[in-house]
Order: sequence, then C-alpha cells, then structure tokens
Amino acid sequence: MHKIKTAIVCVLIAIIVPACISASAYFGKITPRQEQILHYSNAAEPRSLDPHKTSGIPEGNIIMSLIDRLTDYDAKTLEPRPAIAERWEAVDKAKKWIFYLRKNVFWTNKRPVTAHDFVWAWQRGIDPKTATPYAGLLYYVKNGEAISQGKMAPTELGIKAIDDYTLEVEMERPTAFFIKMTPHFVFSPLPRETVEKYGDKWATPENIVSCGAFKLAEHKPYDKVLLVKNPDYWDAANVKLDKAYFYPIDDNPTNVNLYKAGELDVIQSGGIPLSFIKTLRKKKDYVGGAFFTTCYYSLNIKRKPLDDVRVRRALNMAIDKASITDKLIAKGDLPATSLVPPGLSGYPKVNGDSYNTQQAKKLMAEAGFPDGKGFPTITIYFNTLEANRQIAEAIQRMWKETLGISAELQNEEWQTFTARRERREFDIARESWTGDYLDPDTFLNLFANDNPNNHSGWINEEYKNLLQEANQEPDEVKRNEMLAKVEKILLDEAVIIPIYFYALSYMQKPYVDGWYPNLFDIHPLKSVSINTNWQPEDNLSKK
Amino acid sequence: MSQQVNTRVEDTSPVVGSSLWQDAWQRLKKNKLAMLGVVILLIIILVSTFGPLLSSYSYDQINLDRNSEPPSWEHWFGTDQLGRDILVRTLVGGRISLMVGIIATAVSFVIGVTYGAISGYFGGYIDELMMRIVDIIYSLPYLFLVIVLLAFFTKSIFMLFFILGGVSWLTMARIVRGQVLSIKNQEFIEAARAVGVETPMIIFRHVIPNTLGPVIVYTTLTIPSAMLSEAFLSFLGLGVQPPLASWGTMVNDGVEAIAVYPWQLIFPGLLMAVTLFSLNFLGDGLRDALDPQMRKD
Amino acid sequence: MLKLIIRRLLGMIPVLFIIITLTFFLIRLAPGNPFANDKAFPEEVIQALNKQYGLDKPLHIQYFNYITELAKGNLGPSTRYAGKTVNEMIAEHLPTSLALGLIAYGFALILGVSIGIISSLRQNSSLDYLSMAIAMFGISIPSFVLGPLLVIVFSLTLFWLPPARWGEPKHLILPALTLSAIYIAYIARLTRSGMLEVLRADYIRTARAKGLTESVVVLRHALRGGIIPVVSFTGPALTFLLAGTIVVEKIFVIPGLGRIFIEAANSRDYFVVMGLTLFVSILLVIMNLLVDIVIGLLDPRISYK
Repeated sequence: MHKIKTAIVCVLIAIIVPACISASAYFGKITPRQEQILHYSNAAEPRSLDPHKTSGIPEGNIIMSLIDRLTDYDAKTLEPRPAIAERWEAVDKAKKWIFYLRKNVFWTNKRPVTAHDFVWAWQRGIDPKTATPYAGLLYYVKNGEAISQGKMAPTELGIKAIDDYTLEVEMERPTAFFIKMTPHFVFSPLPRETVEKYGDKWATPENIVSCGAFKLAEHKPYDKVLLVKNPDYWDAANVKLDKAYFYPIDDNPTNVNLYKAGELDVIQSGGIPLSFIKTLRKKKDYVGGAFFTTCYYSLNIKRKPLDDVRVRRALNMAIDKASITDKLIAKGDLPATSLVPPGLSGYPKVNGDSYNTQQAKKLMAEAGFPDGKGFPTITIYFNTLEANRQIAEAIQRMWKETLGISAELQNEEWQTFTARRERREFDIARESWTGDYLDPDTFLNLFANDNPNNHSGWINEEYKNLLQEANQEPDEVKRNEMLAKVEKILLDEAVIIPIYFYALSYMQKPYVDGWYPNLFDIHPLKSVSINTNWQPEDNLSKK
Repeated sequence: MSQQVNTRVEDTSPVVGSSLWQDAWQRLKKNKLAMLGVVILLIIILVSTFGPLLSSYSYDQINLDRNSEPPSWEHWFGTDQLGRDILVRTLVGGRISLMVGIIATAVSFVIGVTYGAISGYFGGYIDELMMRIVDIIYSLPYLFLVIVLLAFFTKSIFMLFFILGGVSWLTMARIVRGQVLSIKNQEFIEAARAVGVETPMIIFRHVIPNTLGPVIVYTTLTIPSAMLSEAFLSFLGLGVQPPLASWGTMVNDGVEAIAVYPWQLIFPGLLMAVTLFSLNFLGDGLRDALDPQMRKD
Repeated sequence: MLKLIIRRLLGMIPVLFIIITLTFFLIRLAPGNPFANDKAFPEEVIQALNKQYGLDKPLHIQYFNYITELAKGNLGPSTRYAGKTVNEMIAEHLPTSLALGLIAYGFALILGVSIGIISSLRQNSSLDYLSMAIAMFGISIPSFVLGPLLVIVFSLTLFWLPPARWGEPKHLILPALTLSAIYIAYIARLTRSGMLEVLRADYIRTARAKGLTESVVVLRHALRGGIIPVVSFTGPALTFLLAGTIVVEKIFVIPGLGRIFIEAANSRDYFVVMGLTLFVSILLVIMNLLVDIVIGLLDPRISYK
C-alpha cells in the first residue's frame, strides 16, 4: 500500500514541479485582455464604502475611485495633484488653506459638487456620532480634536465655504504638510441629501451617489466589487478603463494561482506567499520597490531588564538584520536602523545603532549580564503569521549565539495579541507601521505622549515638544532637520528595535499600463489602462 | 437463535472474558497487515525518540545561507526556509504528533464510548438529557473556547490534551449511542438482563463489545483529525511553539510552499500518512480480532 | 413519531437558550474588542462606536437587550460591516454554503456508500484493501493540502477548471471535490463496518436462505441496518458542511458562511458570531432530529419511549 502511495506522490511531484517552476520570463498567462477591464486582488472584503466608516487600504482603493477629493495622488510620486480643487494656496504660514474648486464636477445625481459638500462631509467626519476611524487626520483642522471629544459642536470645525467654489480650511496650528494629506479618502466630499436619506445604507450600489472616475455597479460581499467608468466624470476623457473588478482574496497562494491562470491582472503588494518570492523575483512581471512601512519590535521599557538602555541597545546591535532581509525574506526589504523609512524627499537619513556584535556584548556586560549570565528569559510576542515567526526564530537564535541569552517565542491570535500589546503585557512585541501621508510626522508622532499606538511605555517631554515645534515650522528644509533630531532622540534611547523597511512585492501583468510602484501601494485607476496590443519582447524581435 | 444467545452470554462470563483478549491477540498476530502496521509504528516511535540524538543537526539550528535546499546527502529531507534540517525536525515533530494522536484518541475512546453507551442503553429522558449536553458542547464556538482558556490559564501541554480530548469524544458518543440503540433490545442483552446481570456489567461486557466495530473505525479516523487540530491550535498560540514543530504545523507551513519547495511538505506529510496507514491497519485488525461474531466462525 | 418530533422541538428551546447564554458570555470573555485595529482608533472614536452599538452598557443589560431583540427575530448589527445586520448577512451567504455543502455531501454519500458496500461484500479481497487504502488516503490528506493539489493539477497544469472564485457551475467542482474527499472516506469506512455487522446477522441469513437474490438481500435488507452508523454521522457532518467550511471557502474564495464566521471571530464581531452559532445550533438540533427519525424508520427495533 505504501508503494501505491509513494507512486502517487511521485507522479504528483512530476506534475507539480515543472508546472510551477517554468523557464518563461513571465509567470503564467500573458495574452492581453481584449477589453479595458482590470481584475485586481484586493486583500479583504471592504468593511464599508463610506469614507467615514472605514480605515483600511482595500476600502481606500475602491473609495478613491468612487469619490474625488480636493486633490488626488500622483500615480508615481504620490504628490498631491489637482482634482476637485483646481488650485490652492497656504495663507499665514500655512495656518489657513484656500482651495479653489472646479465648476464642472458633478455628483452622479447631476448636482454640482460645491464647497458646501466638503464642509458638511468634514463636519460629519469629525462628529463623534459618526465615529470615524480616521478622525485622527481631521485633528489637524482647527477644533478637530475638541469636537471629537465632544467638547464642541461639529459646526465649530475650521472649515467654511466662502462661496460655492471656494473653500477655506483653518488649521489647529500652522501645518505646512497638510496638503500632503488631502488626497486621503477621509477628506472626501459627500452628497448630503443621499447620506441623510439612506443613512447607513447610502454607500450601496442601489443608493450611492458619487463623483469620481468610476461608479459602483455591483457589490457582492466576499465575492467582488465591480466599478464601471463614470461617463459624466469631469476628466472622463482621460479615463481609459471601462470596468474594474476588486476581489477580496485573503489567501496568498490563491492569489498566485488566479494570477497564473490569467484571472487576475494585478496582485496587491504583500499578496504573494513568502515561499514564492525567490522564484517570482526572477520574472519580468514581478514588481518591487520601496514601501512606506517599518517593521520593528517594541520593547517594554517598564520591565526589567529592558528598562536599561544598554540592554535595549545590545539587543538591537546583536541582530544581523541584513541576513534576515537578504537571505530569509529576500524580497528586497532593507535592514532598518531607524524608524522613518527612506524615500521621503528632503528628509535626511537618521542613523541608529547598527549590527555590531562586539559592542553588543560589551554593553550587555556593562549592564551586568556578561555572556548573558543572570539575564532572565524574555518573551517575544507576535501575531500568527509565517513571516513573523521565521523572523522571530532567527532573532531568537542570534541573541542566543551573540549574547548568550534565551528568548521564548509566543505567537497569538491577532486580537489576543493586540489586546496584550495595549495592556503592555509583554517584554517584546512585534509591530509594523505604515505611514498615512508622505511626511516623517506620520511615524514620529507615534511616540508623542498620548498616541495609543505607542506600546513601549516610553514618555519623553523633550521629544514631544520638539516634534510639535518642528511641525509648525513652515520652512521645509529647516523642518526636516528638526524632525531628524527628534528621531535621533528615539533611536538613542533604543525604545524600539527597527528590523526592516518593507519592500513592495507584487505581480502585475505586462499588459497593464499606468500602474506604478509607489510608497503607499496606492494606484489611482484613472491612469490605468490595458494594452490590448501587448506582445512579449521575443515575439517583437522576431517580427 | 437460542444457541447464539448462549454463546454470547458465555463469551462474556469472567472466565471466558479473560481469554477474550488472549483470543484476540492470537487472531491479531495472524493478521499480516495489522502486524505490519504494528512494526512500522514501533519503528516510527523508536526513530522519533532516538533518531534526533544520532543526527549531527539539531532541530533549531538555523543556517540562513542554506535555506530551502532540496534533499541532498547532507540533508536527506532537504532544509526549511531557515536552513534547518527537515529530517531532524520531522522526527522531533513526530514525538509531539504521536503523543497528541494517542492521547486525544484515548480520551475520545474512554469518555465517548462510556457516555454514548450509557445514553443509548438507558434511553428516555436520560438519553435526551445526555444528548442535549453533547449538542450544547458541539454548538459552542470552539475557537472562542480555546481563546478564552488561553487567556485565563497558563499554556501547557496538558491544556493542549485537555482541549483536544475535550471535543473529540462528542461524535464518538453519538456513534456509540446509535449503535447501542440498535442492539440493546436484541435477545442476548435481554437474556443477560433476565438472568440478573447487573446493569454496569451489561453495558461494559455485553453492550460495548458489540459496538467496537464502528468505534475502532471511528477511532482510527480521530487520530488524523487530532493531529491536524493540533496545528490549528498552534495557530492560536497553543500547541507547539517555535522553534519546535509538529507534523501538523510542518504540513501546514509546507502547503504554502508546495509548488516551490515540495520537500517541505512531502516528508513530514509522508511520515504522517504512513503512521496513519499503519494505525488504520492495526485498527482494522483489532476490529476483526475483537469481533464477537468473527470469533464464532 | 409526531409526538417525538414535537417533544424534540420543544426540548430545543431550553437547549438553544443555554447555548445562547454560554456563547454570549464566552465570546465576551475573549481578549480583544470589535474596534481593535492595526492602527488603533482614537480613544474617543472607540467610545463613540461602543455607544452606537450599545456595547458601553453593563454586560447583563447587553445580554438582556440581546435576548429581547432575539425574541423579535433580530440578530443584531454587524460591528465590522457598518450598516449590515446579521440577518442580512446570513441571508446573503447561506445559499452559497447550502449549494456547496449539499453537493459535496451528496457526492460523498453516493460514492462513500457504494465503496463501503463493495468493500464489505468482498471483505479482505484486494478490492477491499484498495478501497480502504483510498479511503484512508482521503482521511490523511487534509483539505488544505488536497485543495491546492487539485488546483495545481486541474487548473494550472491541465487548464480544465478555474483555480478559484464562485458564480458559475464550473467553479463548484474543485471545492466540492476537496470537501467531499474526507467524507467519502469516513462514509466508506462506516458503511463497510456497518454492513459487515449486519451481513452476518440472522435475518440476513434467513433472507438468503429464502432464496432472495443477492442484490435484494444487500440493498433492501442489509443496507437498512448497515447504513445506520452513516446516518448517525450525517447529523453533525452535514451541519458543519452547511454552516460553511472555513478552509475550502478561503482557498477557493467562496462567499460562504465559513468565511463570514472566521472573519467575525477574528474581528470580534460579537453579534455575527452569536448569530452564526445560534444558526448552527438550530441546524444541528434539526439534523439530529432527522437522523433519529431516519434511524427509527430504518431499524424498527429502536423504540423511542
């Protein structure tokens, strides 16, 4: 009987291996579609298509195609580009912003989009009754935080319509980088009459009124979302796609299978199983590049022996991050010595401690643990994911070999892990953070006093004050210098162990045009098209 | 008809009862497939226990320069994504999986059979009540049961067995109960009752042995599901914690790499399958050996 | 029989009540909350959300409110999907799980029982060993391995079937096959052992002695008793299939109840977890009732007093 089974297995291997590792330059089917239709793997079922009821990237991908904001992301650089706002100006050292709106933008119910739609929408977004997950971004607008805490009425928000097509936004403090946030979907305008009429159900295919490049045609939960081109869009002449399908696929091997079979045109970044990366990286349709996410370990500085900065630094310096990124994950991530990922124009590189086993041993001895003697067992907690586990296993081993200390690993179901992190019941906890806007502040304010995402227990007045001061600085160059100093404080204190900066990692069929790698993995559908005439290079050269 | 009743009653009288197991063993020894199963199981247990001691690698020895290498002379089963030796890891993993399989099955066997037999034998309101309790436990969301237990108690291997055993007996109880319902009114049981055999004796000596066929079959089916449940529990943070692995977790991780590094799935999977096959042959052999009707022939 | 059904249905009410109560408090004991997020929401937003869903009230009040709403047939809102109710979600996704589950189980039943009968009739022949080895194969290969294997062979090598997704009949084949494999195996083994018991029983000998043809003996007389373990097994098995299958739905991207449940559990979508648990419980009780009725019909020796 065992022979039969072995035989079956052998046959299977014989079928599988050549099928999967083929010598082709591309992965799977590459015959272009003959229609302007895009099939995209969108990770998760959207929680809502109401910009004020969700915070996720899968939802954002859809919402941003449905509803135009003042500005839109540039498909390559993510710089804000004029959308509903034709132009804008910062007044009074960026304490105030004036936006001049286009007059040819219409809701799908034919009503023009005006400045009042922004006023009403932002007031709704900050209203505690709405409970907007991304309300935090609206805190930069005057009175935002106070309104959210119920201390003021939503109408007190620093936004007003000077006339139908001029919008004035007043900031809490001078905020020169506010414009970089405006493409975010939380700053969408909303059709008041529709939202008030249908309440919670306004963002369904039957009810929705939108103003973006695409309209919501179909939404089958856990199956698909279908967007179709909006012929009345103000910039419709430049929109090439007719339809776009978003599939909520949370199984990475399935992504790869569907892509290979030609049923998906693009897999979102992070949607490829780790084990496939080394093979797929050699293919021409694999896309890498920088991503705006840092993976780090939070150290609980309220617990011994992690309250000793020497121990924290030693733990950091004993990790060979380059071997983790290059040999273990091998998808082009960069070893990290700082919190803010590279790629922000104008922001200098801030250097924290780098890999140095001698120095690590020395620091450990100074802290009273020569060769790890007397060092208690510490536990690394992480949420269950293969990559998290493999990295933790590697670090566990490195600490053992270099410092002679033993660390235990404990994976947990995501909610249990998150709750533990919130209660600060850990020695070391795995974290990752993706920026919300293209500015160092989106990382640095994590460690300003009351940010609920700071799990380390580290509070530093100097850090907080310097950050606030820097954020009010209108001069870009000066501000970046000040921010770099802020980051240096964090790194010198070794509050966190930065491990690596994520790299983008996705598949994109060669016939998809206008889909560019960028720091957010955000891709305005407006610029995307299908090249129906695409042919592989070797075909072209034969002709 | 009366002849058969007599045989049955005799079969289970104490004197003959002791020879029941001897008879069974004699019969089992003659079953070549079952004995092959026993031999393979013994080999696997021995190798899992002592094999890792003979290897020059340890299960947690990482070598990132040699990750995901196919089988070679140095690494017979290849290496995993951290460059660890899959052979050693599979053997060490076998210890855990075997233990999990055996204990979960034992719990399911002891509790499930007893519970099901009592429920089915007494019938009526007792049956009703006992089966509704099974329904209730069945219906509770298992995932949350585990999460809550993990939140309030310290993790340990006993808790793993407790949780695995705690649910595996439910289906067993249902199956046994169904069987008992269909045999409890047969003549030989009534005859035993008529001659004044006490109820517990009837249940354990007369009723249960006659349900062993389906029970043993179902037991051999419980083992793989227990081994796989263990992988699921590891996912929730119970079960084996890295760098240790079990067959279940190795197979689980290997699936993702199936198209790229098939050896990471195939070797632990194969060992697990061979074990299950052997257990199955043994189970079938046992079933036949213990079958009261076979004995008569 | 009618009395049995009425009694069981009435007996269902306290059972369901206990299940609801235990589940309600069990899931609230679990660490985490419905509004936990990778990027933590501001404190005031979480408070506002809790208020919106009535989660700011003391637990016993929440329990009371839940039961009150339940009595009106309202399973509550989803905290994960703004604006969705649990009733809507079950209505949306049940047909999918129903279609997949019934087809998979029907297939498993036909194939499993046939294999089991053939095996039992040719006990210890090579055909028997082969069938049982195949059955064992089905049991030892978990669905999370079998599914990807089938996809690799039938979708990515032979290009016969789509690798995933839902909507057309062709999407049904691979997931149904993946799901049914283990049930074929279970059913085949249970049928075989059940048949072996029965085939040696006196009434079968009598039937044979009467000169009835073998097929009549097997299919009319023996199968009636031999299939009882399979029927017992069908209650819980079919319940779980109809309630959605987490692994297969995930691998094949099928919009069934299994994915709803796991997503709800992961995001502590309390009302959805409650609603689905309640749904499964009702299904289970009904299935087991049906099972007992069928067993009663198959085997007149069983009495329900």
